[in-house]
Amino acid sequence: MVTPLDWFMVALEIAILLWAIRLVWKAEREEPTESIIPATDKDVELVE
Amino acid sequence: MSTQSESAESGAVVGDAARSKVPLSRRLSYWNNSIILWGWVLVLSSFVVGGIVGQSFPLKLSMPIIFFGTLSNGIVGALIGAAAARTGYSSALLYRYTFGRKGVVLPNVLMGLTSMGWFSVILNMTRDGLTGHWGWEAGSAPWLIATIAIGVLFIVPAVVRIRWIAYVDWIAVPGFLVLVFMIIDATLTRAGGFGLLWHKWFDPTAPAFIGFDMAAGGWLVGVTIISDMARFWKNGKQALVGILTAYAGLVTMQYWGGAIGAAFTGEFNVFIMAQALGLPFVVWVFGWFGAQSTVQGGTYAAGLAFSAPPIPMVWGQEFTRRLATAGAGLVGLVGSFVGLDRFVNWYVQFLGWVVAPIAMTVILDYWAFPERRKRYQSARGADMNLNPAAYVAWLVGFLVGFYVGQNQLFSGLLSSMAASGLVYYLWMKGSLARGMTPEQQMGLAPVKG
Repeated sequence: MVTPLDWFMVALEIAILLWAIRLVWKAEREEPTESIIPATDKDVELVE
Repeated sequence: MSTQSESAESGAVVGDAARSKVPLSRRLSYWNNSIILWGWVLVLSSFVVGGIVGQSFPLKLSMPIIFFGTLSNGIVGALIGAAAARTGYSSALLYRYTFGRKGVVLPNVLMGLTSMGWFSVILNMTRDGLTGHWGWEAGSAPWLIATIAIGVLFIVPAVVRIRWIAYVDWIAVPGFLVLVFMIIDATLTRAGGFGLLWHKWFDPTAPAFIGFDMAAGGWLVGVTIISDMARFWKNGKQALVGILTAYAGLVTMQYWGGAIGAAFTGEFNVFIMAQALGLPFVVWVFGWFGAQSTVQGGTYAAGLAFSAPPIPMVWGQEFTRRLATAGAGLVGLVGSFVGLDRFVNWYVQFLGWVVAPIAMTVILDYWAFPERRKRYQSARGADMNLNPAAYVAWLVGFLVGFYVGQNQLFSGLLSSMAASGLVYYLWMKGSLARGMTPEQQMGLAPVKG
């Protein structure tokens, strides 16, 4: 019932999950969100 | 062009930041924002999708199919949500960098109208649960009043502020969790235990990847517009953990609940399931909370989609958002009278082909190209009016998904994402290597010095 293609897709999904976690962690380590976001309302710039 | 002083002046009406980044001072704690997300995902539409999968596959197959479908949603949502937390942008503002300042109209309209489609579907289902209980005939005055009253309640918190959505969710989340456990418990008790349902076998009515598309497609819209909520987390890590927990955890649990219910009663409408199980009227009340918490979130997201640039601003960004949210809600209310719920089965699969290419191009634009990621830090960083690479990738993704899905060759959703992702990545990679944008390559914009 479960084909080799199904197993391949499951393995691929787990690999993508691990890659996504690593990617977000790496981005936060290199450039934390706190350093690239306005602190308060008065620092906010409108998008036009 | 705006300036810092103009921004400070507009600060009093930043509100829910429909046309700007959410500043750090307006971010919520991890758990407060998680409650909003839990309210967003704890809904009867999850029972519906889980129930549809459960009607097509025996439990032995439907439960793993559902898990990998929702995990797939979680990954997509986590990547979009982490980008939103790191930029502070709503979906409509995030898409702007991928599709262009004017090109963003396509995903915004598609996503906004899709949210309104779900508004109609869930409104009708909730209304039918109530009118069925009281025996009100369709078209009668009480039936009409119930439809309008439930619809208006869906709209009001979304118009006011996201905090009002959170207030409802503090009641809805525990209420709906009770409903989930009541239905699962009642079903398992009447069915004679989980083991009997697990071993109840019938030949699947569709290939496994069609079940995957149903499970993943059902929440794909939700994760593609997850930025509207995820941007209130303090950083990308919080968004990633919160979204993966909600989808791989709570959504999976609900889908399984729907699949277990369908395995026993053969139904996927949660209210009909509850009636068949002889559960009391209080179930409808909990179910209504679930519907309310979801649809108000969808209406909120549609309001953000229709109040972002290039839509003109009317009396400040917050007033524009409220006006657009009320208008979007009215569209959903009218849609409920058209009877969109009759098409829900087909609609779920159709959604995947439309939305998957949007999700894929947005993810790639932010995460695959560090040089483009830098542009998101500026409010003027969107460097194209219309990005032909994103449009072609969306069209290719939609056509491939449609063809593959309709002919049941493989997962239409995954094919759609793979095709659109490949087109977008290769085109953007080529453009960046030449120091140009796809718009400039096509002669749609002048090439600068």
